[in-house]
Amino acid sequence: MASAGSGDEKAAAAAMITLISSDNEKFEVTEATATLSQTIRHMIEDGCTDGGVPLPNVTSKILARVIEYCKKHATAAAGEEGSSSSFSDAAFLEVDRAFLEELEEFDDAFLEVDRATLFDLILAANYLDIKGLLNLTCQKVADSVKGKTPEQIREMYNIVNDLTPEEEAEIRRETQWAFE
Amino acid sequence: MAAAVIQSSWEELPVELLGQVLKRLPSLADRIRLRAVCRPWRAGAAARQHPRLPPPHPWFALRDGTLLDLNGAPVRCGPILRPGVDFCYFAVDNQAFLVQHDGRCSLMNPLSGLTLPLPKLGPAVRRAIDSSTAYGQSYVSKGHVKVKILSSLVNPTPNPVVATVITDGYSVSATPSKDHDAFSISMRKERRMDRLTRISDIAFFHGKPYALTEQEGLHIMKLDGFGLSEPKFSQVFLPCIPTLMTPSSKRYTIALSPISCG
Repeated sequence: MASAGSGDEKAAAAAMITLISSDNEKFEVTEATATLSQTIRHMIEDGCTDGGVPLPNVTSKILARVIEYCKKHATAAAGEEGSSSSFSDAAFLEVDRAFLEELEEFDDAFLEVDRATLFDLILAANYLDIKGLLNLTCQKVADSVKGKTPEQIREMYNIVNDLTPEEEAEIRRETQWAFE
Repeated sequence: MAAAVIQSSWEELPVELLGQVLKRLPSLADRIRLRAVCRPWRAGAAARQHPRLPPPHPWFALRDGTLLDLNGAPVRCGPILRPGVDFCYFAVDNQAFLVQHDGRCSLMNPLSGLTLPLPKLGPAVRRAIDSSTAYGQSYVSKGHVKVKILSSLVNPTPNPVVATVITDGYSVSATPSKDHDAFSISMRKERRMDRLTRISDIAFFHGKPYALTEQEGLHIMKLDGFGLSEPKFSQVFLPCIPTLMTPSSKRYTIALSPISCG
C-alpha cells in the first residue's frame, strides 16, 4: 500500500502539466489529475501540452475548483488501485466503502456553491469533458428542480420569464395536469 | 479578460446540457415544467432535441381510470371515466380503451384528452359477447375483454389497428383499419368447444398480430381483406407453431411486443 502510494507520487512528479486559465493564471497539476479531463488527455496524447494548456473558456476561479475536484478524484482512483492488490476481498470492500463515503462527502461539500458558480462548473465540465463532474453538477440541477413549479425554478436560477402570455396559455392547455 | 466578468445566465444553458439535466429527471411532470421556464429552455428541452432521452417513469393505470406515478401520487390529468363511460382499459401508447354504457368503444389519450372513436369495434365486441355462452351482455362493461393496439411507439398512428379478445377465449374482435368494418370471429361456431383452440392472448409483433392458444399454438392473424361477412376461423388464424395436443393447465401471456430485434 505504502509503496504503491509513493510510486504513484513519483510517477506523477515526473509528469506535470501546466493549465492556463482564461485570465492567464497558471496551474501546475499532475498528469493523473489533468487526465480526468478527456479533452486534456487527448491533448497530452497528441503531444501538444508543452508550454502549458491554454483553456480560454475557463476562468482561474472555476479552474481552481475543477482542479480541486480532479485532484480528489484522481487520488481516490489511485488509492483504490493500490489497495486492491494489498488487501483481502473483505478488507478491500471495507476500504472501498470508506473511499466512496469520503468521496461522496467531498462531492456534497464541493457542490455547496452559488448558482452562478454551478453554471460555470457545468460549462467547464462539459468543455473539459470530465464525466464525473458533469454528472455531479447536472444531477445537482436536476435534484433542485424536482417537484418545483416553473416560477420557483425561475426564482432559483434568476431566469427571466420571456414566454408570451399566449405561449404560457398554450403550454398550460397542452399539459395542464403537470401544473396542478 | 472580458469573459471573466460576464454574468452567467441559466437561460443560455446549451441544449446538450439541458439534455443532461432532462436525463436526470425521470418524472414526465418535472420535464414538462422545466420546458415551461423560459423560451430558450422551451426550445432547447423540446423532445425532438433529445431523441435519445430515456422515456420517463411509467405510471400505474387503474381500471377506474386513475393514474398514479411511481410514488403512488395521483396524476391529475383530465377525468378518464366521463359520464357514460363505465369501463376503461389501458393499452399501449398511453391510450385508454373506453367502453361506454351503450357499448360504444373509443381510444383516449388521457394526457391530451384526444379521443379516437372506434364506431365499428363496439358492435363487433358486442356480437362476440352475444355469441359467447359464458357471458351475458353486462360483461362487456365489466372488463371481460383484452385490448391490444397496433401502433408504433415511435410513430403513433392516427389510425391504429385495435383487436380485442373476449376472455372466454373463443372470440376475437378487430378493427383492421379505418376503411374496413370491424369483425368478430367466434371459434364456437365452427369448432368443437375444446380448450385446444381457446385463445389466451393476442399481441402485435413487427406490425403483425398473433394469437396464442392455451396449448401453446401460435397463430398469425390475418385481419384485412374481408368484406362485410364475418370471416371463418381458418381464414384469419394461420398456424405458425402447431398446437400441442397434450393437455396442459399452464397459461401463457404472449410477451412478443416488447421484444424487438434491432
